[in-house]
Amino acid sequence: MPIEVADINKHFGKLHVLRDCSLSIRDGETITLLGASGCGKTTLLRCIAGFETPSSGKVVLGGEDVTRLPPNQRGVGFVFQNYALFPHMTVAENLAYGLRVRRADRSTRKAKVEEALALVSLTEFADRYPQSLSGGQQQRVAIARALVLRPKVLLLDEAFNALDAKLRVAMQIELRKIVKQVGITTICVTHDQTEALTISDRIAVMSKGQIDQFATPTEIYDTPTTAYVADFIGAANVLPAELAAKLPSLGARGSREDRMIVIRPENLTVRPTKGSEPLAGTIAFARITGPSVEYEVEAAERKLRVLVSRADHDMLDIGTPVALDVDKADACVAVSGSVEGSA
Amino acid sequence: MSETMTTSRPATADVAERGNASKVIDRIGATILAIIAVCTVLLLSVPSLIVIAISFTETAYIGFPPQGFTFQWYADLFARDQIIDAAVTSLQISAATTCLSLALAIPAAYGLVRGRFFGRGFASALIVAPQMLPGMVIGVATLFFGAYIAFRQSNLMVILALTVFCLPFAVRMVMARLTQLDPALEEASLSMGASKTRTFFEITARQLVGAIIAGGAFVAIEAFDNLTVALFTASPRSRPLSVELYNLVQFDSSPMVAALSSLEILAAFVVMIVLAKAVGLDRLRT
Ligand SMILES: Nc1ncnc2c1ncn2[C@@H]1O[C@H](COP(=O)(O)OP(=O)(O)OP(=O)(O)O)[C@@H](O)[C@H]1O
Ligand SMILES: [Mg+2]
Repeated sequence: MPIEVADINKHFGKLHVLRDCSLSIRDGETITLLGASGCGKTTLLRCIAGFETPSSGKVVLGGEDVTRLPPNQRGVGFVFQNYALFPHMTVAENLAYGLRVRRADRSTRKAKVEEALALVSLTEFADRYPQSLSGGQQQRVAIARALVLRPKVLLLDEAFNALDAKLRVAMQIELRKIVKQVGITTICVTHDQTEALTISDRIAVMSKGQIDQFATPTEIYDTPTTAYVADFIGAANVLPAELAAKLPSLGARGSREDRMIVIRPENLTVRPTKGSEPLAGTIAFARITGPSVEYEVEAAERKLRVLVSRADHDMLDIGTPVALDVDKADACVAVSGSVEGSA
Repeated sequence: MSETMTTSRPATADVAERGNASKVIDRIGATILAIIAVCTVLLLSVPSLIVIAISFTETAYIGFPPQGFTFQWYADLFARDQIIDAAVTSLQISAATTCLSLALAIPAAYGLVRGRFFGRGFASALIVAPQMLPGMVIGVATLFFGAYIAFRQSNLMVILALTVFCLPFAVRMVMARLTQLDPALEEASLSMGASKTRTFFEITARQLVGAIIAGGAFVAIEAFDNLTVALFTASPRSRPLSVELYNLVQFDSSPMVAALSSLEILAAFVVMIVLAKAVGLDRLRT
């Protein structure tokens, strides 16, 4: 079911939490809301689910304006940040609750609950109470409880954060399979950018209640539109245009005034130098990360990150004076805004 | 290696010393706590124990220490129709007040905790206010207001006045539990398609059971033996037990009064034990 979020604003008293948020999500698409803590991700999800009413703007699900519809008439599945399992019901009863509400008969309920439990590998916990489960197990129950109803829209608020790395990947793969198979339109919220890059068709990067950019993971990485996005996804060096223009291969391309230039660490190069270069610095820190070596270079009173392959490069010592340049001038993007304390 | 050994040795000795010192302090603290606890328990239970002891005395008047041992006063008690009638009246009043209080308290608490409306804080303060008033004020106020609208002293008047008096306890208990309750539980239920009513009965109310039972028990006990409110609102022809007992003490110093009190103590004790077993003592806290 396609989701249309149109110009949503949300105020809590004087606090302006969401500012003109718009998202247009296609049927069956999985998108991720990514952003710093407190930027309004949960609030946006709650507006879509119907737990909050936006101060202005519209939520449209499958062509129907649901902005004023109560949550129980929206058919939207929700996995809560703190699980919200019913403490007086066993795991199986928690899963069966929504099916009972839908008046599914006993045998259907049993079959569906068993299937959902198997999916999250919790079959042997069916008769336990939520309080007696670990955080990760509770989280899996919460996911299963939402999935068992096969909603047309599924909203997951940091649904994987209590799981260890291995389980997390396994659950993400399982979830993605079901979501694709059933055709569930999914919105995930996460702090974890690798999670966002692996599970989503598109990513919406939020900052301070605004959606900065909504695009595919590749686009977000390769052509960020704001300095915040560039800094949030992957590592980035964000330089003022006049400084970036000093990089020989970039030259005039970077001369658009009042803009910032994003240069990924793997796109910067260093070579030892003796003479005076337009943009020179010294190696402040070096670290080997498998096949590459990562440097921190102090230049023009800032710290720049440089990532070079070890195959065609002799490692440089700390304190070596170096000249900086870019590898591919095309891969540097001009963005608006600034990033405080960016590396 | 040797360097780390030499530096770590004095450090461990120091920790051990501090450990011993804090152990001693801990032990003194625990002892003081135990003494205070024992004193408190004695202070709370000795008056009841004295009353129970007196109820078995063979003397014809209340006196301490009791002399001899007899069940005579208990037998006398059950032989008096007046007292049996009063006990029945009190039970009826107690049951009605409890039902009425809970029926009002649960929705009120829900609205005050979950509702979003103008003046919620004020409404909250207002509903809890009668708790600040002495029962006598409520009794007298009800009596005068009743007279104004030609409503006479009766069991119904006692029930209504006691409900006003007890409601804050019940509301407070349910509110305390509701405030702790994660609203996401209700939202989860709604998101699975359940109506608000179904959510209330299947999810919210189930979490409130302990608070409702505890609140109900306190109201029931208070309504059963309340004197200050009942004194002004009860009809002279059908007096509740508390008023009967009060009259008895005024005109008679027979140990029958102690026997009656002992039975009340026993009843309250049994109620609390049953409650603790049924819902767990920790649930009775507010
Ligand atoms: N019910 C509320 N009343 C008042 N302010 C609120 C309420 N809910 C959220 N806020 C505020 O709105 C802002 C956004 O909150 P939100 O929970 O949406 O952030 P988030 O992006 O989900 O953060 P996190 O990643 O930490 O979960 C925060 O500043 C928060 O304090
Ligand atoms: Mg959140």
